[in-house]
Formats: sequence, structure tokens, C-alpha cells
Amino acid sequence: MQPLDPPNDPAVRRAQLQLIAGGKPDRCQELSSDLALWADDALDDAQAQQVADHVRVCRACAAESRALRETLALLRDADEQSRPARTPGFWLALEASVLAEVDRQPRVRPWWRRSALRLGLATALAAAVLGAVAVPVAQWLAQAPAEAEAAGDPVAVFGTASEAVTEDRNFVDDLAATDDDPLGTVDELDDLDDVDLDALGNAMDDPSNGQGA
Amino acid sequence: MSVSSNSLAHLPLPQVPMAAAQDDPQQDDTRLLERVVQGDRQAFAVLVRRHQRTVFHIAWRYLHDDEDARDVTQAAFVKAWQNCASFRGESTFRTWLVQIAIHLALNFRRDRSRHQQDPLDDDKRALPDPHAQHPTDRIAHAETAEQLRQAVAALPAKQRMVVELRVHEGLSFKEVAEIADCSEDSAKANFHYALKRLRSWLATVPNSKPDGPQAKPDVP
Repeated sequence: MQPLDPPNDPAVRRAQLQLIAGGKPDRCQELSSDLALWADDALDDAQAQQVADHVRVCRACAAESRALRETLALLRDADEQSRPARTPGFWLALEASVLAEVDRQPRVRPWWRRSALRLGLATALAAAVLGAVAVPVAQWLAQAPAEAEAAGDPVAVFGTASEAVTEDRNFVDDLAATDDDPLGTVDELDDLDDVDLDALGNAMDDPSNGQGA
Repeated sequence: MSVSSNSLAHLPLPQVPMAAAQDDPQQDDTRLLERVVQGDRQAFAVLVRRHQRTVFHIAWRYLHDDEDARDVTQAAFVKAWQNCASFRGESTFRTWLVQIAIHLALNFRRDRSRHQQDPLDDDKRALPDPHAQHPTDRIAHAETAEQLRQAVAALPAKQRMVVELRVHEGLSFKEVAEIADCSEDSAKANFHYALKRLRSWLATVPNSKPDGPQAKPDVP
């Protein structure tokens, strides 16, 4: 690196001192990775200005950036030269062949957009949920009495409510069938009409017959 | 294997009404793609016309054969057509398409090299000897241009991809990073190292012009 500006420029003076000391100037190292991007005009304005300011005072980096810029130009030229020339007809023919191939191929819809598949998946999911709930419930219902009896459930031990009612009715019928019941049998009670029941009630409430309260 | 560059010229012209497939620059790729998803083939024809050169050139750089590059171009567009509905829009259509094309080209080259000794197996090739020829006008000389192309092909895979996409196809570093599946900073670093390496190589070519300080090849 050699100074281009007056030596009283602090940046140049610092760079000189670093060169004398045998090291590469810090600024050159800092901007080294930006030179290629600067040569390719790929830096933003602020970064480009920093590199431009440095290159103006640093001959080594100026030469490096020139070489990189020319390398880029050569690359572009080389690519152009290595490509066989293409006529407009070539591109039209390529487009035709591409579209012809496209027409031969079916479209692929993503799985979540396929309505049939979506419906099938929804149905399968619903069936799975239903099965997961209904089957255990049905099994439980089928096994519940035996399990309850084994577990000492009162219903299982004493019978169901309807069985208890039937037994109670039989007991009442038996009781009513006894001769010493002043009310007679249940069948006889059933034969009484409303008037008879009223008369019977009045008779029972009448203190004169010795049975009232 | 090499085929004339105009080998496609005998093919029939597109069957689509040309007026209907005219490229409207106001319609960006995203909007066209929305129409394609709805089944609009004309919109897809516009996308093909807009991007076929990029796709073909990329494929050609990997394969160096017109017929193979055409097959890869076809396959890339077919894949895009078939799968456009699942394109999430996280990158541009061009980025997505180029990714597909590079993937297909690499697969194509790998399959080809299995069946024959592929002279274009670039990854195994060293930088060309700059003293093998003595061109007087370096870049005007087609052979030197070919040497430089070989030098690019001999770069590490990611550096090569970055240089080709950036320098030859003019993609932004953001697009390059998406295609190369790396960060933008990484893409820029690869570009920097690749360019320095090529500059160093060119500096050793007789009568070469990148005459910066004759640095030793500083391959990372």
C-alpha cells in the first residue's frame, strides 16, 4: 500500500505505520471481503461509500478491485462465448416442446386439496372416533351386570327395581286376600265405584261407628 | 452426445394461440402462478416463455448437451406445473424453478456418469493449466473462454453455483441464497472466495489482464 494523499492524512499515516510494522493494514483486512461485492455493485450505498473511500487512498485495494471487476467481466464474456448461439426459433421450439410435455402430464393436487380424499379422510376419521367411543360403551353395557354382581352391586344382589315392584304387588295381593282384612281383597276394592269409596270414607270418618279419630 | 445448437428448430411451433400467451410484464409471476393453480395453461405458457432461457442455460452449464439440457428444462417445467398448487410462495417462482432445474440437472449428470465416463464430471476436474495455451487475446479466444468456464466448473460446488447464478443469470444474492440453501452472508462469502480464486488463476494466465497484485492463490 502506498499513500496517495498527503502524509498528514491520519488514515494514510496509520496505514503507513502498519506497513512499516510489517502487517496488513486493518482497514484493508476489514474491507477485503467487500471488494468482490463492490466490484459486482452488490453493496448498499453506505457500504459502497466506505469501500470507495478506502480504495481512493489504497493502491493495493484499488488494484485488487480492478482485477476483480475485470474477472467478472471476463466471466460474463466467457459464458457468452461458451454458449452456442441460439436463434429465436430455438426458443420457440423449446417452448413448444415444454408445453407439449406439460400437456401430457396430469396435474398433481396437494393431498389436502383433493376433495374426494378430503371427504374420505373425514369419513374415516369420524368412523374411527365413533368406533373408539361406541365399541367400549357397548362392551361395558354387556359386561356391567356380571361385573356389578361380582362387585356386590345392590341391584345385582336384590334385583332390579321392576322385580322389586312385582314382588311388592304380589305381597300386597296376598295380604289383601286374607279374610280378616276389613277392606276385602284388592279385587273387591277395584270393584267399588267412586260413590262407594266416598261412602266408605264417610263411614270410616264418622265417630259414631267407633272407628273415627 | 453433442447435438447441434439448433437441433430443436425442426420441432413444431407451439400449439397455443400465440397472442394468448403474450407476456404481460405487468403481471408478475405470483399472479400468473395463481392463475396456473386454477388451471390456466396460458398463464403457464407465459411463465415458460419468461423463464425457459434461465432454466435451459443453467441445465446446459451442468450438462453441456442441448438434448440433455432440453430434457431437464422440460422436466423442470413439468414438475412446476404438476406441483404449483403446493408452492407455498416462500420464495419467488423463479427461485423455486431454478432449484428444481439444478436438482434435476445434478441428478441427470449423476445418472449419466454412471453409464459412461463423463468428460464433464466437473467436480473432479482441477483448474485448467493456464500455460497449456498462449492466447494472444485472452477472452476473444474461444479456447480461453472455455478454460475460464472450466475454471468455474472446478470451483467447489457451492462457490460454482453462486458464481453461475449471480454472474451468469444475474440473480440477487437473496435469490442465490435461497437456491443454494444458505444464508445471504454465506452466499456473499462464497462469491468473494470464488472470485478471488478465479482472479488468482487468471493472473497466472500468460498475457492475462487481471493484473492486480500477484497474490498467491488464496483458496479458502
